[in-house]
Amino acid sequence: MMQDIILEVRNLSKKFNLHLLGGKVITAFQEVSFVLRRGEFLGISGKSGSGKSSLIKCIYRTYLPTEGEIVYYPKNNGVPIDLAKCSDEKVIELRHKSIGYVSQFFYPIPRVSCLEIVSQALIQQGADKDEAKRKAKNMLLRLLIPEKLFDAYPSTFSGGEKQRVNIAQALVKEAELLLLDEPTASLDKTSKAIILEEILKLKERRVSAIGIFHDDEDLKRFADRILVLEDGKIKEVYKNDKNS
Amino acid sequence: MRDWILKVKNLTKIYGDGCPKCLESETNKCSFCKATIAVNSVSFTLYRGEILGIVGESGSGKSTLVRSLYFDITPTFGEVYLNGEERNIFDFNSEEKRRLRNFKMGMVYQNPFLGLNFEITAGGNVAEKLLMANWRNYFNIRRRIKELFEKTEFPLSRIDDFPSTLSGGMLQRVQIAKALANNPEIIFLDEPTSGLDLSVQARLLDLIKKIQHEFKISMILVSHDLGVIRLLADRVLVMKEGRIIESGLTDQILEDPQHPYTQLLVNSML
Repeated sequence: MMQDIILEVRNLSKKFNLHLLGGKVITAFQEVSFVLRRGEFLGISGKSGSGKSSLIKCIYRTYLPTEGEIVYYPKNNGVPIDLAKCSDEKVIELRHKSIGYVSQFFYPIPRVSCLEIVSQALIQQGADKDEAKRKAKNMLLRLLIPEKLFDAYPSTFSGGEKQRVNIAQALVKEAELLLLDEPTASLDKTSKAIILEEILKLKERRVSAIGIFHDDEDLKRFADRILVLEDGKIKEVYKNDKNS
Repeated sequence: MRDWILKVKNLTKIYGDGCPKCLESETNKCSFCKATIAVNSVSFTLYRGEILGIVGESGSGKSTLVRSLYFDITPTFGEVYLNGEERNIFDFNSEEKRRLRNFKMGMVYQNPFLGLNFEITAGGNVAEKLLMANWRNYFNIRRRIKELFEKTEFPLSRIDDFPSTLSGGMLQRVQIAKALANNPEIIFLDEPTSGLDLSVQARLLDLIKKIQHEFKISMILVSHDLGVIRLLADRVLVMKEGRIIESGLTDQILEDPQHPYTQLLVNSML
């Protein structure tokens, strides 16, 4: 049943053609196929350079896939969308409404307050301003961002605080599909614990997610299944017993 | 999906007589007839509420493109449809074109001499646009100008000063106030912050973003500065030699550019 599946990746490959280096071609990953079931948490593991981040970036369309399909099945039997080929406009709509992304590094827009960044995510989804602000405040408080920082610019925040704002803007809109690209890499213990706590709540709510974690222990804590990449190819996919 | 607001089809501007081979030309100089093809078969859609960035080196046709859309330049051929208007707007007569300009469009030029009349005051420049959009009552006009200057953070104490006495940043604020005056559906911004010092530039960019958030106006933003585009645009068109060579989501263009020229451009970022 298609209703059980939220994302189907078929024969996906990503190659970079570096024209400035005389047309050198670098393959990030190739012939990757897998499905993500609704409510499932799929972990991706593999050594640095194995193509994990590139895969997530292709799904979010920050990278243009070279070959293959990424079929997204919207809820309530909506028309399936191939994220590898659909229009930019469609991707923008999905990013606003249904797909959340937490990057490894957060480059906040300069001179925009953290409350505004988080409430903007909701306004894009169609919420009215007051409602957005209220929800954004709650989300920031849950991530232990002190109220006195709400009107400050995240560009001046510590690394941990910045990443918590990043998580807040991705989680606040309750996306159908969440992409996590090492959300806790290089964070202090406290920030990491706060963020992992939020991800655990997501898992309890059965949000469909694909995640890369720096720490294997974290990966095992969340993932229902784990896909292992090696040199850009799928080495294996296995059920995480610890979590079943 | 968002509603479209502007559809551009095969917009072309040739300086010179042109010949049948012009459009096949690799560069913007036709090797047969020596005509200059400033804009070559450009097609794209602008959606309601979005900021569409156009990047490219000088001479790539960016300005000619937006100035054609604002009727400053008459294109050689091409079609442009504005949502709500039934015909190709290039087929409109001059009165109909004036109506679109006065009621539905706004423009901010890099060079304030193009956008403002230096013979009249800052407030007078905005009033001119309002008068063209059929505002008649003096007090209403005066009130609207004050409101616009407050929005664009232009000092009200300078409302009756002449443009020649204003700073570069202030002139751009007057231009933005003027562009906003008639509650337009589309604003064209042609290098609005180039040549200004960094702090002035930053404050103007914030203002543009704020306006877009508040009024949801669709904008086409021409800039050679990828930093400006990253800050403001949802999608980007990359132009070279009069053509669109690549288009995409702003983050995709910046992180995974496809065309050799775009790769060069992105790698040239400071």
